[in-house]
Amino acid sequence: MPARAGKEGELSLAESARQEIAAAASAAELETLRVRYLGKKGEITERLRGLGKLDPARRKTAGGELNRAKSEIREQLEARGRELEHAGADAQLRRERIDVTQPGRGRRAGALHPVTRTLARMEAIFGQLGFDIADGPEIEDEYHNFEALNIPPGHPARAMHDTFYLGDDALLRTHTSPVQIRHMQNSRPPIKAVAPGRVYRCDSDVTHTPMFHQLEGLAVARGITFADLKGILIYFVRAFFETDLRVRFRPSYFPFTEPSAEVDIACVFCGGGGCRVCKRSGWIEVLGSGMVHPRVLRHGGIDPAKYTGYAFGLGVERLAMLRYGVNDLRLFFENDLAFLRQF
Amino acid sequence: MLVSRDWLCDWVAPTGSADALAERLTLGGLEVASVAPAGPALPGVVVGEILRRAPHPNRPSLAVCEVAAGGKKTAQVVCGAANAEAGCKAPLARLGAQLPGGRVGARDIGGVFSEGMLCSAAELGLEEQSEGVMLLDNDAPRGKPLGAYLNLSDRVFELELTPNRGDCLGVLGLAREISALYGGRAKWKGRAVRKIRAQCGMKLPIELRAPRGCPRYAGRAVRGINMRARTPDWMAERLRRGGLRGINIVVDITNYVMLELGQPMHAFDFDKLEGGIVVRRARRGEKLRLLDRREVILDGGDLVIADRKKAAALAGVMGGLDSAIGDATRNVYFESAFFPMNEMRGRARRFGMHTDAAHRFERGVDPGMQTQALERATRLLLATAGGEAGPLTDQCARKWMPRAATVNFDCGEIERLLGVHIPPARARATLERLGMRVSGAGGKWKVRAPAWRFDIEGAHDLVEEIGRVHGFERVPPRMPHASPVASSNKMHSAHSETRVAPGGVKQKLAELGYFEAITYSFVEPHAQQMLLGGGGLALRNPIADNLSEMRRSLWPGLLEAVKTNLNRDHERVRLFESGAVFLPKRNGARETQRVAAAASGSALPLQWGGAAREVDFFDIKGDVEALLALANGHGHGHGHENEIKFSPGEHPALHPGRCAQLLRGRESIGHLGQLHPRHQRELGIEQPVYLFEMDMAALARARLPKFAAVSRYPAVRRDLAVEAGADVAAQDVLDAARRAAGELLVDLQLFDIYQGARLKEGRKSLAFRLTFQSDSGNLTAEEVDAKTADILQALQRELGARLRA
Repeated sequence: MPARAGKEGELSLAESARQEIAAAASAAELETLRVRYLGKKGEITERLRGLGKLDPARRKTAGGELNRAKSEIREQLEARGRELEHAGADAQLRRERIDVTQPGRGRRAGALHPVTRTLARMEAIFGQLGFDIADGPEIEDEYHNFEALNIPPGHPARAMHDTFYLGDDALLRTHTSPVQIRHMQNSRPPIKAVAPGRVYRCDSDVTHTPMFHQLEGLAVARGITFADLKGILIYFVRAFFETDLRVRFRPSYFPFTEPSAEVDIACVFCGGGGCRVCKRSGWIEVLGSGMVHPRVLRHGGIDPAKYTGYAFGLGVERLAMLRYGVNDLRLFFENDLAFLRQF
Repeated sequence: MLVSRDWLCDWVAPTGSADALAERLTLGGLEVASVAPAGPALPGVVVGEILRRAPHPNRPSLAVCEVAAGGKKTAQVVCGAANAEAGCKAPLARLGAQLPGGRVGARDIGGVFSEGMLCSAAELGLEEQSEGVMLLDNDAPRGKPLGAYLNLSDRVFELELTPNRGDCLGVLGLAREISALYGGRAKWKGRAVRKIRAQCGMKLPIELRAPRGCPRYAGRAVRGINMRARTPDWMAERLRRGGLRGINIVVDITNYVMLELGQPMHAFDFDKLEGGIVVRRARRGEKLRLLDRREVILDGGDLVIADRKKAAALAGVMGGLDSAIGDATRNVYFESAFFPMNEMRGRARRFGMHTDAAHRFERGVDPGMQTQALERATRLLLATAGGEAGPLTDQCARKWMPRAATVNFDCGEIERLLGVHIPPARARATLERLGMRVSGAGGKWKVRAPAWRFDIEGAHDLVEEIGRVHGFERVPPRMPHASPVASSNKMHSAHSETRVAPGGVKQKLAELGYFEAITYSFVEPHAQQMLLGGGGLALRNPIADNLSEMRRSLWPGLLEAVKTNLNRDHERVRLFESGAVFLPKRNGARETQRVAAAASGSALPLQWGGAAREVDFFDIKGDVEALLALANGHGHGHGHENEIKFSPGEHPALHPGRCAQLLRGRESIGHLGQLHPRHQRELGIEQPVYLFEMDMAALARARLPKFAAVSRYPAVRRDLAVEAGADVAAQDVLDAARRAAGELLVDLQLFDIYQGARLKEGRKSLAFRLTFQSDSGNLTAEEVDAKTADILQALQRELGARLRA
């Protein structure tokens, strides 16, 4: 091979190597190029060997250029090698593609009953306000369900509580209010508690089921007034419905509270303008409340001259219906998965 | 109660619209459920007079009437009603008149042209149903629009009164309330009733033999009345607006007085009463046929109005048929009595009745109203049906009359209960407008309640009166501060680490794929008996036979729900419930909280990524283990006092070979297994159902995690397969291995179970992985081999198991 030394010669060699390396399409081609340029008999190697024939002045510069070209070619070979390797790996990964839109594998979660869900929120809101949770038996006696709550035998309020009886003095509680008495008897003021649970009335039609849920609230302390009752209930309905609803307290009658008030909220469906749900009144009745009757306080072992208190009772299904837009009470107890799945 | 604004305005004149009045009443504690017009507007309907009536030439059932209705021209109207006689007045719908059923047009009826229509009350939309044309008073002005004549633009309020406000079950009482609510801005127009002097001597002696049940009875005879007299239009319309049907002039008058004054009255046919009025307790077994033609059998507690011979009315509830007013009645005897509410409560309900009279007496009738009502009724009767009034007889046993309550009232109570200051002068004026007599000064009063209020006992009642008239909306709310619990038990326990809250159990079950059901606490007794054996607590008055016994397990309700869902084509059903069960004991029931679940259908929801497989015992056992892990962490708390074990068990509801009992120590805390196939068939369920049930309390007791040092030395694993008799329990193998290995064995997992062709009949193979680790040094192969040999030896000795070749 003629020894064509000189600057142009080296440059064109480096340039052609660069082009060939960039065009190489596989690791094998790269290896061929490496041998051709850098191998024992490669072009660069040969030229380096030929340096000895040059005079010492040119030898130095030519040697420097050749070594530079050698390391450039090595770097280009490595870089191209990495590129080819990544491209190959990417192609492999592309072949491993899956359909990410296929549904996930597994058992799929169930759900809590809307009544449980509603009760849990109610308990959480009242819990935040410092209310304890109390409970009592579902099979009650006349004393706790009626008499201690100032509902003597024959009282017209009893006719509204169609009562299931199990024995002469055993009945299914018609409301959660008996828990008030039990709780007062077992604790000392200040008292602040809610009692959630099942209640029973001997009644079944489109808007009544023989069993439903209530949450009873009771607070007894010195200095509690009707203004506190209003505050707590306004706070509750606004927290529960997560909106600043208008709330109305309407004088009413319950044997165990005096004064008594029914609480209406601005209809959550029409905003108070009047619709079918609120019977065009713009208001929806959500709960009964009042200041605990002195006789009831006394039955609970509390001196009404020292302490005052308020009590309230909320219908859980009613709140759940308003919250989720359920239009038929009976759905809550049919336990159809098509219904339960929605919560 | 229904009451019309027009009638109220006879007594009091409130300002503002009917809707404003309704709102004021509602916010004053007398809830107005609706306000409706007294009737449709009826344009084109006028008072008509039938001048002539002739038979229809072609239709024998019809007549052709000539009707005058103001103006010179008369109208020719074809009419089918028999009571449309010449000389009568009746509503005439002229051509173009708008009736609820449509517009009236000219029609050819059997060849006769009819220019309008003589209307019945039903056609006018005034009654649900009616017979014949609606006859009007003879002096009704001819041609006057009917809407104006009957004042149909009047409004009817529907009140939903609370049971303590019996005093408002009449126009008078309601008017009194309006006057108080408007604080003097509503003019009072009521007048006292004038007494009527006797015009004849006809009367009956009255004997109060049961003065506790009836301390006051007033009566009067009216002789020679005209039973054919029509109830005047104004009265008929007020009765209709009050929701009552017209009966006859006498009964209509007693009803009218009841609606107006709140005093129920009764009228007897005087000639059917023998010798006098005796108010007495019924004789046991005494029979009485009532106005509704029902015969009731009385007992000694019932109060009757009798004559000298027999019972004539069930006091305060309903009159008797034999002494009732009829077409032939000539002489009337009016009753106006007072029956105390504690005597009357439940009386009507005992016979399955609810009458307007009983409704009022049960809620309290004004004990001072009897003679006033009697005078009012007499005056109305004389004016409409003629006759001569006898002397009024008023028997009263003062000792048994209710006494008005007197309350010592400290004005400070208002603010103490309501949390708002109301000036004493205003409070006092409110009480006085409500009929209370207030004496005393300096904020310490003596308040005497009026006779008609039975719900005033103490200061709190007066505060309510003052508060509701003032307006609850004017009490500024005191907003609460979110605050931590002061003294507490349960709410704290929601954050306790040694208790699992029921909410946590429910949440876990939902995560495990179960949907929460809420089933009734009462179930079908036969199904329950079949599933559980024994007997339960029966309801005395169940709503239905299939909801008549208190549940002793959550399974009967859940199985019913499973069935419902399978019938509705849900293929995979997983339901749970938590709640009380009621276990009979000698004197009643023990209530205990449980959690239970049922699973049926495929193990996993239908999916591409797993082989379809039906749910089996070990699926639900895995779920039970997940619940136990809430309380005990992983491994159900081995060696801990809380440790819960599964052992083969028996339960009448479950498959005998697929039932496990959950034990904590010796205490059974639940069962799991497959529903007995026989019960499954019996319940009409077509595929296997797996069930579990546990005591909620047992799940609640949680183990506080206790740190053990983490060993720095490597663990050594050995896999071991042993062969044992097929009836050897896996649990026993694991327990024996654990006992034999001692502390160095830190983990033990069963990973394969085989039974089949490669083994002898009646044998099975169990493979498990042993993990050994010491926290004091490296274990040598010899140490591990020795432990493994110990385990094998123990398995051989205790269970006849041997290393599998």
